[in-house]
Formats: sequence, structure tokens, C-alpha cells
Amino acid sequence: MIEEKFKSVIIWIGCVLLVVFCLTPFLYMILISLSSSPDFLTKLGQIEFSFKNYYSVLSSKSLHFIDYLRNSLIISAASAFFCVIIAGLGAYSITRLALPGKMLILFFVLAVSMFPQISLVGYLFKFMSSIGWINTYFALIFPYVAWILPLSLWILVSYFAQIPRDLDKAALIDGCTGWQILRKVIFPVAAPGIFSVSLLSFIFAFNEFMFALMLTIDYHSRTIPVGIALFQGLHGEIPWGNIMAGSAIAVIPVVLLTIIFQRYIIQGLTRGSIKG
Amino acid sequence: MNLRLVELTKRFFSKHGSILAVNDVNLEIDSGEFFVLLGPSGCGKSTMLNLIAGLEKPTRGEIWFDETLVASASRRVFLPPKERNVAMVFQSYALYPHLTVFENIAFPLRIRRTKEQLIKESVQRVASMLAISELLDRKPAGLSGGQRQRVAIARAIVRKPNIFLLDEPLSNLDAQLRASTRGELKNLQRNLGVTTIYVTHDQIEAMGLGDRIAVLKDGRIVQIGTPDELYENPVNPFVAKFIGSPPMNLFKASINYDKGSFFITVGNKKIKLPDNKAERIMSLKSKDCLIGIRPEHIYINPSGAKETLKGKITSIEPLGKDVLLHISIGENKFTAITPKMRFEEYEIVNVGFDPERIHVFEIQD
Repeated sequence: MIEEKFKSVIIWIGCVLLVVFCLTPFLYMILISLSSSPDFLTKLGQIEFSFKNYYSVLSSKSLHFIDYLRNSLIISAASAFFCVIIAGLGAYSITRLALPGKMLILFFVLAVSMFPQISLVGYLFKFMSSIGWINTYFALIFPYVAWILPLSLWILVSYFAQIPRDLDKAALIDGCTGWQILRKVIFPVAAPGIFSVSLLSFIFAFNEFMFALMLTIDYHSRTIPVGIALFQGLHGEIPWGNIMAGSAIAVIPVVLLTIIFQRYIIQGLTRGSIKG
Repeated sequence: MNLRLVELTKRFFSKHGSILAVNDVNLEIDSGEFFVLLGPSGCGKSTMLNLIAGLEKPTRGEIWFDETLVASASRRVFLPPKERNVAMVFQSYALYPHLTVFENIAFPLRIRRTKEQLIKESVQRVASMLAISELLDRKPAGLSGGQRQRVAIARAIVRKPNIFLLDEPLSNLDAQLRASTRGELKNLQRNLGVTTIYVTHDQIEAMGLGDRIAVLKDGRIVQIGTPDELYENPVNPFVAKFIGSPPMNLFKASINYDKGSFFITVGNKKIKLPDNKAERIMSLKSKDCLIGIRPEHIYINPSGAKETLKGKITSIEPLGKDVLLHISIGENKFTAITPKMRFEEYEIVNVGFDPERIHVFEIQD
């Protein structure tokens, strides 16, 4: 009895420490963003609350924060969309067709995803500039899709493989074509997988820094991570308030998406394979 | 709809070579017939069903629905399942987990772009026919095995199929439910009058449901006949053992000819075989053969029997009304079903056969 209590206390302490460790920088960011005279490592007691940083980030034309946010949302959404479609088709054919060397394809894809991002950046820059895509959405969407595809494919293959083949057969007999099976049976049944992949791709594209730094020039296509990093003024002054407020706002879409989709994702995790 | 299989063959290729799943099957199934494909697992019965449904392409041979050729390897004809209008119930039920019961049943109609009003009417009609009207709003995950099974049947019959295919639909149900569903299924088939092909490895189901049964082994049809024909006149030991529970007793014996009659020797007793078996015995390749006798045709301590043998009871299984005895006579072991009486293990009893009920088979490798 005492031992069990002790155990649960230990577990609680562990959990609390972990949460504090993870959330402290985040909370500090929120606090600084609300401070009227923000500076790095301000003492907590000295903070006077105001929303002026948020106001300046959202209204100042020269910061282009709204442009960055829009670019980020469009690029991330498009990347997630194409990623799900392509990975979905790929996973369907890998799990459902009599393809020779399926595993070879899967492992090849996995191997490709092991390349460090930095090893491709130089080539990618040359390529994008020669086809004139630098500073366009496409310059980011294409590499993002390619970059997230291996993981998405693996996740969806594991989801699709769990769906009993009898469902495909039943749908065929009920009169579906191959496309209809994918659209009306496989995709809806694998919805938790589809949501996970969409969310992961979105978050990856939303957070990505290096490609965005190299392949964009100004607010026409620059995304939030790069945008915030370049808030720093010409003379080296660091606008901590704006940076923190921008970061806080940038968190919102991802948190919202996670909250909306988590129901489906958790459902998928707990329900496991569904016996038809 | 009448169904005809002509020299139907399916060969699967894999890394380890090829497997002949269905081997040169010729079969005609009449319109409205309840036809059962019976065989042990791996005998190709499900593959045959898949070939008829259009889920597999035949390697050789043809499939005809009435006068329509639906699949032919040589003439390169292959109608997809969509154009055959067959319905199928799977062992796993294969319900769509993301759809409600109503939408599951409506699914084939929606794919056909049936009018909404008609979909509603049809779904409600079959739902009330199968007593699942109150389940229409639920998802398959919230149903019991028996209910899922009904939904699967409802989905199959809602669009009035030409041929109704059932792949071991009862094997996931418990014994009691299986027996009652069997009766309902038979009634349903009679009422709908749809040509039905039912795959099972359970001979009790096959006997209870089928107008005719085809017994399959290694991709070939061993025997086709009504349940009675298969029970009374099995063509070989395989069918003899497969049909009937407990299975037929089979033992090796050699046939002797003496004074115009045929005899076999069991234990140290000569038993005369009836004269009407003469033709069958003459057709045997050697005088060594397999003799078969069903457990219910062995009589224990018969009164006034002519021919009896001494046997020792080795174990006793009560079956309720009857009792199943394991008996050894010399080197041979038999099972016998007999009305309940007091028996003791290791008791010596008189065992009588009805020679008319003896089956004679060729010894197979």
C-alpha cells in the first residue's frame, strides 16, 4: 500500500518536472510578449502588462507579420494536402497491388529520407533559381512535400495494411471501382492515419526554417520562422517584444489544429484495428 | 439464374512455385438452387467463389451466367464484379466500420446511384425482413456477431442479386446461434429464390442447407449429389469420412470369393457381403480394399443377429439420447453409436453389422 502510494507520488513528481521543463520557455515567451518594456531575461517582478507588442506586430506594415502568417498557412496547408494525396495513393498501391519489390520501394524511400537537409540545400537553390521559382510558394511546397513524403508513406502504409482485404472485396462486389474503394472505403476507414499525416506534414512545413531561409527573398513568400528570425533590425537591435508576440501568435494555428484533430487521432490509436 | 463452370482452373504463382487452387472443375448449378461447396481448408472452395464473384481471373476455362459468358481465359472475357450483379457475404462480414448500419446496407445502392426514396424503402424492407430495423443508426462496432452477420446478409440481398455467394458466413457465430441462423438462411433463400452458392468446411451445415453439395479436395470436385446421396453412396473414402459425424469407420480388408459369394474377414470371423455389391467388388483393382461402415450401422449386443463379433469397449462418450462407443475388434478400432444403455469400459460386447450398409472402396494412396 505504502509502496504503491510512493510509486504514484514519484510518477507525479516526474510528470510535473517534465511539464515544467517543457512549458517554462513557452510561458516565459508569453510573459515577455505581454511586457511593456521587453528585454531578454527580464526579471518577472519588473513586467508591466500591455498588449502593445501584439498590436505592433499585427499592425506594423514594415514588419510584414501578417504576410508571413498568410504565406505559412498557405504553404503548410498545400504541402499537407499534396502529401496526403500522394502518400495515400502510394500506400494504397503498395498495400493493395501485386507489386514486385514493394519492400524495396519502402526501404528506398526511407533511405532517401535519411539525407540531411543541408546536403540538398545548395543544389535545390540552384535548381529553383534556374527555373525561376525562387521567392514563390512552389519553391517551398515542392521540397516540403518531397521531404515529408517518406514518413507519411510509412504511416499510411501501416494504417492501410491494417484494413482487412475483405473490405476491398466487399466494396468491389458492391460495385465500386478502384478509385471508389480508395475514396469511399479506405480513406474514411484510415481517417485517423490521414489526420495524423496531415497534421504532421502541416507542422513540419509550418516549422521548417532552412529551406524557407534559402529559397525565399521577401514577404511575398517568406514564412513565419524566417520572418521572425529576421525581425532583428539593421543595427543589431533585437525587438524582443515583437519576436515573442510573433512567436506566440504563430503557435495558435498549430495548437488549434491539434485540438481539432486530436479527437480523431486518439480515436485511431485506441480503437486499433476494427474488425469489420 | 443458372450458373455453369466449364473446365475452370485457377493457378496461383508465387516465389515458391505455383499452386493449383482450382483444377478443371465442371459444374452446373440450377436457377434458384441452394448449392454448397464443401471441403477441408485449402481445397480451393473460396477461390472458386472468388472466381464466380469476379474477384479472381481464371487461368483456364469459362464461367457462364445463363447465356452470358462472364469469364473466359481463352476468349479474354472478364466481367468485373460490378457487371455480374453478384452479392457476397464474407466470413469476417466485411462491414464498413465508418458507416452506420443503414449506410452499410445502402452502400451498393448508392454506388449504383439509386434514388434516395428507393434506397430508404429498400433498406427498410430488408432490415425488417432480417429483424434489424432498430439497429439502423448504429455503427458495426456496436453490434454483436449475430447482428453484424444479419447486416452483412441485408447488404447482400438489398439489391436483388443474380447470384448470392456465402463464404463460411456462420463460422464466427456460437453454436446455438449458428443452428438458428442456418434455419433462417434456408428460409430466406427459399423466399428469395436466388441461386445461392455456399462455401463451408462444416458437413453439418452443408447437409442441413444444401439442395446439392459438391465435395472438393485439392481443387477438384470429388463428388456432387444431394445430401442423402453423399451420405448413402460416397464414391471414395474421402467423402465417406467427410460426410457424417462421427465419421465412417474405415478399415483394410481383403475380399475372398467362395461358393458364389464374396466374404471379408474381420477379427477371425468371415462376413458375407451382399450380392448387390458384387458389381462394385468386381470393379476393384485388387482384392485388398477399404471397408466402410457408419457408426450408426454398428449394433451392440443385437438380439437375434446372425453374425456378431466380440469387441472390447475402450472408451465411452455419452451424447445424451445415444452413446458413442470406441470399440476394438482385433487390431481394428471402431466407433459405434447406440441407444443409451449401461456400458462399462473394457466390457466385452457382441458387435453386429448390417452387411447391406457396408461400403467397399478402392485403397487410395
